[in-house]
Amino acid sequence: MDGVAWGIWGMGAFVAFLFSRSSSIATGTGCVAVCAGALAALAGWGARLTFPPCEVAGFFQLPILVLAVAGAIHSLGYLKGHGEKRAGTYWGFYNITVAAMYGVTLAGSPFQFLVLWELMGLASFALVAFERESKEVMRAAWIYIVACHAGAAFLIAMFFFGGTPTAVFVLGVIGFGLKIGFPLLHVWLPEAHPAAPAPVSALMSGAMIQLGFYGLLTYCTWSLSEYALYGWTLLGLGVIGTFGGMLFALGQTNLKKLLAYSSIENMGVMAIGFGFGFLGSASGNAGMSLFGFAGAFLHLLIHALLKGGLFLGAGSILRAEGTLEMDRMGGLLKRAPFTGWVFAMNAAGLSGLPPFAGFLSEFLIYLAALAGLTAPGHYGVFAMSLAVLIVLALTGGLAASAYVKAVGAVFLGEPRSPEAAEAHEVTASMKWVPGALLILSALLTAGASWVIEYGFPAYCGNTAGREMAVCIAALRYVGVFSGLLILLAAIGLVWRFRLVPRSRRGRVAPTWDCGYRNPSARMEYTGTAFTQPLTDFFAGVLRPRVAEEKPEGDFPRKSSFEEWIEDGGVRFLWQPVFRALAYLAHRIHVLQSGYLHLYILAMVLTLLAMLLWAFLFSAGTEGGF
Amino acid sequence: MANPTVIWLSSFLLSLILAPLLPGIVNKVKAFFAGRRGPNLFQLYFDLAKLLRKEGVFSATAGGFLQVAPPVSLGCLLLAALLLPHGLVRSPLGFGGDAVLFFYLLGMARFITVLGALDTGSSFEGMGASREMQFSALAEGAIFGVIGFIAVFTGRAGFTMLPADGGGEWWSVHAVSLLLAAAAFFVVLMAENCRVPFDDPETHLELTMIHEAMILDYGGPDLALILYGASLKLWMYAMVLMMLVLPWSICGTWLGMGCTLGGVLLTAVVVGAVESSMARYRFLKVPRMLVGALAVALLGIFFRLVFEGGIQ
Repeated sequence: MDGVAWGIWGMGAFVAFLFSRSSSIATGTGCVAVCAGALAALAGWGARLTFPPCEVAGFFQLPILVLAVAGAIHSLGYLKGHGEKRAGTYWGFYNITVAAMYGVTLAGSPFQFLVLWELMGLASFALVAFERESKEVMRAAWIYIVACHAGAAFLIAMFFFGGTPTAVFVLGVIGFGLKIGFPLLHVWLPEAHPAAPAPVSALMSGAMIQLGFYGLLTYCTWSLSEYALYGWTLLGLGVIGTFGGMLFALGQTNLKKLLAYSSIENMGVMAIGFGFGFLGSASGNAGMSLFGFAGAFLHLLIHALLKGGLFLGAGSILRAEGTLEMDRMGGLLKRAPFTGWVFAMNAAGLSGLPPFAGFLSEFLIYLAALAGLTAPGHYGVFAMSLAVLIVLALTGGLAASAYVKAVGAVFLGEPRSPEAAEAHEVTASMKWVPGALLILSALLTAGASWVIEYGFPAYCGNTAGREMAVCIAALRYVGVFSGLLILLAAIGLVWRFRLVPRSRRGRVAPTWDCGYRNPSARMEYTGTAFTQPLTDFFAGVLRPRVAEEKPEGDFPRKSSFEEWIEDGGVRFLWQPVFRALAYLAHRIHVLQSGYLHLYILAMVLTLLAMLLWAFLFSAGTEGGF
Repeated sequence: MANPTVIWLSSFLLSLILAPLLPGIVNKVKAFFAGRRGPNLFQLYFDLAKLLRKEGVFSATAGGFLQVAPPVSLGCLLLAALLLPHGLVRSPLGFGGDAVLFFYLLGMARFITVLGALDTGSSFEGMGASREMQFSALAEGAIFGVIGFIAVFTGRAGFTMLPADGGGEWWSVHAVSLLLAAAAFFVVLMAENCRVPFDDPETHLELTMIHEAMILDYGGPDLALILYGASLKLWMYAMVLMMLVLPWSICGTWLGMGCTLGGVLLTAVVVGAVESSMARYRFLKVPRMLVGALAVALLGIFFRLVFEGGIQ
């Protein structure tokens, strides 16, 4: 069935390109092809399913297929009135991206893999650069394509020159890490995600960056004797990525940028999970290994659904408000209640709060850390488990803060700008798709124990032991408690708004602001103000930039204050590096003087140097001078 | 030896009934230190009864979170209470890792309360919400330091202080580490329940408040739910503290249950005494206290491992 799927996607792309003059034909065929191809692929996926499937790829394929369909349907509303003229380009590349992503998970040889990996990068580059009139979008797209190719360069080196398992792993971590967004390699994420159309961001953040882990697991971590190295590396990267990602997310004012940084955090959580998996296997801690792998694989699915829902929600918000700057929004909940509630629930889920799905995977990773504390075999493992426990807890708090900021600034309070006051609920396709993803994640919460019991890849060896029973029992407990929480909340709400006598149910009055009637939107807390205490506390890491004009003189006229946070990796590593490169290039440029005789001199000197080299270093070998 | 489930259940029901007593005790102690007679010990019960009979008022700005927050957050707290060990008797619903779920349920209650506060668009409530999220994020670190301590101490991932091997000595061997963990958790208790020196529950209308600022817009039955939830939260934190300090030998007896409930009430007296003898910290100092609590919890783990024979 995979062949059929690729056929459909290919035809979809072809027709979309062919009829790019007519946006309705391109949109129709493009969208139908994405969905039909995904259905065919899903049928193929189902046909391959055996019990137990023991297949890593399946965990990566489901998010691709689900988000491809969700993004396609959402695009119908998202593109309406915005860039319909280029619908052919959009749908063509959308189909190619989906096909390439799916192909990456099925590639049989390194060569196939690399070709499809490149295709995936190039096709998605075209999607990121969809709104090409904007200078910022093009800048982001170029950063993305540079990161893609840098990653591909390391992957080529890994596949063809990586000799020892260690070398393969190191090259793989850099090459795939550029896709995943490991710390310092993450710089393209917060640029490309806000620039791309929302359905594309959802597909990329929810499914594509996770493919980096697929590559790592399939091609780089096959040496059993190196499991400790894999574990330590992934845990180290994961801890930094988790904490740093969330910290920078806190300081963002652009909604999609905030979500992009939180993706870095989520990839960090997955890296921690996989790291515990490998480290547990290496140190003989079966519980840690199982909880780590199970947590990471669950997080893979959960992150895809919730982050997909949030990015699509952000797209709906953009269409409803016309901006992504959170400090200019507000009060959208009243104007678009469905979108608002779904966004808030997805956000609570990604903060890892019960009863939403996000709690499950964080819970398993906590269990992995606790397994490291309860069976200390090695000081290092113990210390790492403790560090992860504390970092996850702190990050959980920061994540809740960041998402409260997002929900609060966008949906609550009074509108902070005229555009926000005129916002409206979005069209049906944009409204229902995030809701559908939320429902899928709720189903996943209920069925997580089955996913782990029957669908868990036989990755860590021990899939039947005592730890498996503990894991499944814990997941069932969490599922039951999630259900109970929903039930209790429902009872409470029914009591409050149905059973309390109508006369006492509540009347509406202005906000009581300490005797000050009708506070205006200018008095509200903005998103930036909301997180300011935390960003101040972590100013040592975030290094916020401040532009300030203080009130001066006896009758001060105007004053202003602005604070923003720039990416640490860009500011302290890549900008200096690229500046140094530019400086070096400028220096070398001197050679290019335009005088022919100088060029000839340079050639002669080079030849001489090569002769000398050949003379000195090949003298001892056979066939030398 | 009575059936632990029966003991847990009776303790659970008594907790739900007695929780509103705690703020009464705290206030009575504070009044004693101030040389006043103070409000009735059962004042909160009267307040709740009165509030439940009044009409609710909702802000016109609110879009729904304000209305939804009180019942949902109380639901989270009640569910968390089902996981709580009473003294050393583990909840019959407990499982490996239940402590994580417990504190995340409290986190969910906070999440929805904060959204409810932001829903009003009031600058006071925005301020309270912002501070609440800052302090709770840092307190979370200290809480999980204590959870790590429990795991190291008992060798189990569950919400219990009974060691996995079923035996072991108590204060004679582990006094230092237990005291350190209890001290760390007491700091968290004060911070998370909005007590002096972190927050001042009595300054309703000043810029110094945190939790009270978030609930300014509630009245009637909604305020009743919130006040009851706050007292239940204080009760649950005191219970966890009891779990850390009570001796294992009385576990599973009626005496143990009596000691636990008595200890919780005593905690309220201590809270009142601390509140009376301290001034509220400057806000800039609060994060340092919370990070300090985390450090103390880690020190407890260190002592347990290095000086009290925990290394295997």
